[in-house]
Amino acid sequence: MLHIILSTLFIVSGDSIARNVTLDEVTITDNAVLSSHTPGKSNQNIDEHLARLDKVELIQRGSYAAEAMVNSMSTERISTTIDGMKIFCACTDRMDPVTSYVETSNLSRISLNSGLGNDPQATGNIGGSLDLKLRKAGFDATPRELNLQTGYEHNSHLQSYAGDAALSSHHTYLNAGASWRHADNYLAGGQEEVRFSQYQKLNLFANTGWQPVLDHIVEGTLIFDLATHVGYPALTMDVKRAQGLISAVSYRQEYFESDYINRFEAKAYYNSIRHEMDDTHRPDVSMHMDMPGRSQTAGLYSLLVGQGAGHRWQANYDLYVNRSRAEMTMYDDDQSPMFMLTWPDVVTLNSGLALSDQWGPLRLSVKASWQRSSISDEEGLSTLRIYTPQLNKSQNRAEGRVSLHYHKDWKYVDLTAGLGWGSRTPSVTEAYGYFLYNTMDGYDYLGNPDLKNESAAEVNLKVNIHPTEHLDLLLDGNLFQFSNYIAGELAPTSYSAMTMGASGVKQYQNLPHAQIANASLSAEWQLLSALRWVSRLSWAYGQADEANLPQIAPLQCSSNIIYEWGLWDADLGIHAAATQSRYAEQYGESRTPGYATLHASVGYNFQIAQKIIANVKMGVENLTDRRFSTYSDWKKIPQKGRNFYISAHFSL
Amino acid sequence: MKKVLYIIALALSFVACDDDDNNIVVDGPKVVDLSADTLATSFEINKESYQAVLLNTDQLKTGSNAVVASLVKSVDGKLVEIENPGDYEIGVYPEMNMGTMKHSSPNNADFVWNKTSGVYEGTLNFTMSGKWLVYLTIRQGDTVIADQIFWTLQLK
Repeated sequence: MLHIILSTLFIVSGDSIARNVTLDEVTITDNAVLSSHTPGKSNQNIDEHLARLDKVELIQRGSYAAEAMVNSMSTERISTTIDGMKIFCACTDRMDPVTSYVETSNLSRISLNSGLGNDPQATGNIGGSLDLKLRKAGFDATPRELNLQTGYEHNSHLQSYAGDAALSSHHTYLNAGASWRHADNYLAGGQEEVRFSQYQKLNLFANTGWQPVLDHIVEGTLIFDLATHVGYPALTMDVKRAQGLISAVSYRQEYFESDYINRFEAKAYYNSIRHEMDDTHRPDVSMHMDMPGRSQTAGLYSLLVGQGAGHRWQANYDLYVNRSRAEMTMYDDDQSPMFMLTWPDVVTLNSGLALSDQWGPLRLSVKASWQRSSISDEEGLSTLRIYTPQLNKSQNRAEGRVSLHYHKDWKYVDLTAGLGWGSRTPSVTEAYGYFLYNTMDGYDYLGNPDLKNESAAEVNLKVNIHPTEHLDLLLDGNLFQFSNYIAGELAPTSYSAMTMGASGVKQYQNLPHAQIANASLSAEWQLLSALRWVSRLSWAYGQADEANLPQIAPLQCSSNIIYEWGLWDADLGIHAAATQSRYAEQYGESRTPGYATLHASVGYNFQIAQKIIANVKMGVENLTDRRFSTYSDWKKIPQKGRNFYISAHFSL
Repeated sequence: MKKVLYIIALALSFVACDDDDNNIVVDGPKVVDLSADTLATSFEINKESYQAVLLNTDQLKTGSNAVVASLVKSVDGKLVEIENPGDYEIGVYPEMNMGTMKHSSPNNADFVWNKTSGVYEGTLNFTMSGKWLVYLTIRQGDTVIADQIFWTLQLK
């Protein structure tokens, strides 16, 4: 991890982004650098980059758009932003985590703040926050740059192509690019085809900057992302179209004459997500369904950074409004279509103020937000009132968080300890979701507008031991003690399921208490100047009352030998997991057997005609073609079997 | 507004007899005039024909609905009010046939007689649009006098 952090500082230096990276962030932040100069394939998708972050686990429902979990908590309990911009998915079945609406080529790095951390734009981030940092050419960078990248994977015949160009001067910059991915069905271990696991994705992006006066910077971003014909083998439906349009305009002032103010940034943004589920390609569908969804978000934030009298502080105000609407229409040959609103056109207005201060070894971070949620559609309101007769059209809530971190460096040991408390409002699904079928446990889920805010107290400790300059050991752990934990519980028996084959109806309720704990031990040992050994052992625990929480990892281990010498790099690694025996039966989970898989790669960096910097990588994943599922694979869909890949990157 | 008009019209039919050609005056029970927006289902008691009539069908929508109904008796081809309507209740159970499964809605309220408005009042909840069957159970006190009858509704 230390290597990754140092790489971050190195790679982003020299462009405008470098000014955002401070040593403060490094101490509590994990970063996945989206670079081709690391072992493994250079055409990794976002999910593969996310998986490199220590505290991130992925829920797979197919080979596309995995849902990220941070500290064993998924979408509702983490905040995901794109360069500080709020964005919300449009699928009621979690087919489109917001990370699916960007591409690797859009980003420079992914920043992870663990727990109730210091991300000023994050809201409701009990588990943590992910910020996808955009890749901007920046001022005074290479005047002209061209990047081309391609890759092929034999399992699923995945093809990827990406190209981007950048222009940079002292006053302006522009970088823009396009990428395309196409994958057929993949083969699980044992060469069994996993049907409906195909996808294709187009992505276009452009970033531009203008600096009319030194340190007064105006920037703009536009991203268009379109995934089509996406299969989800773990679910009963696929996706015909998932489209995202992301736009932003920002102003930054990087220098002030005042000794107390260092930096100011303001950004306005808008994004629109359209998502269309589709079951027309599935065999034996007894009743065809259309399930489109839409999410639109507009917002702004304003960040001021300063220092004085030993303090380094920042203040951030953010505001966003999101509109989420999802529909379901069922078609029966014997009658007219059956229609319902599964998200009843919910408009959420959220406004928050975040303050943080670094004072010596202490850092205090506070955020308070106010939120108003309104149901815009009268039909949606009326149907929800069947189940909650006293439901108001609008409701106001307040949420917030506070955390205190202490960091101390000694000669051989660094220590970071933290305490925090935070709350979150129920998500649209948890408050207003309407008969959303959960294929994992086989129940239709109903929202509950009467839910109380969920809250959690966090304790964390990180001890970094480096007895020599060649050895780095990191012990990292946290504990979250929840109150009013939101989870689905059996609804009254008079509630009748709406999905064929459903076992019944569950409704979101507040459980009085729950605990989630995570612990890991990482080691990095520079064995030789060219040889490095990186290993990680992790464990998680989750319980509410007497029952296990879902999606809690068993004991897992990964170990890699990395060889970097001259123009060559190579790695050989193993990933293993113990049997998951503490599964959450009431949420549809069952025992997941342990497994171990091997992977290897080799890469070569070279120049062509003194102008083109190139690298070629090839490797294999799941070398033994083992058939396995991880604890978080939805409905235990098998992971990809043996997969040979080759990728190439050219930079001019 | 239409609901109010229905209720007024129905109430008037119980308290007044007129010479309108549509309402034939008979001695005894009062004749009921039903509008085109009503929905009726028939049942027999002791070989006499009755109808359970849903009066405000044009106001039904997806969601929760306050509904009004009437019980009438067919006499010589004419519909007349039943005697002692307050002795009866109409139990309701909305159901949607979804291929291989059936779906119902909770928190419906059985129809009970409102002496003031002169109709049975209840609540019907429809969780989505489509074709609904509202099953009725006619009770006189604790005695079920008719069941397995239903109204068929098509909600758009």
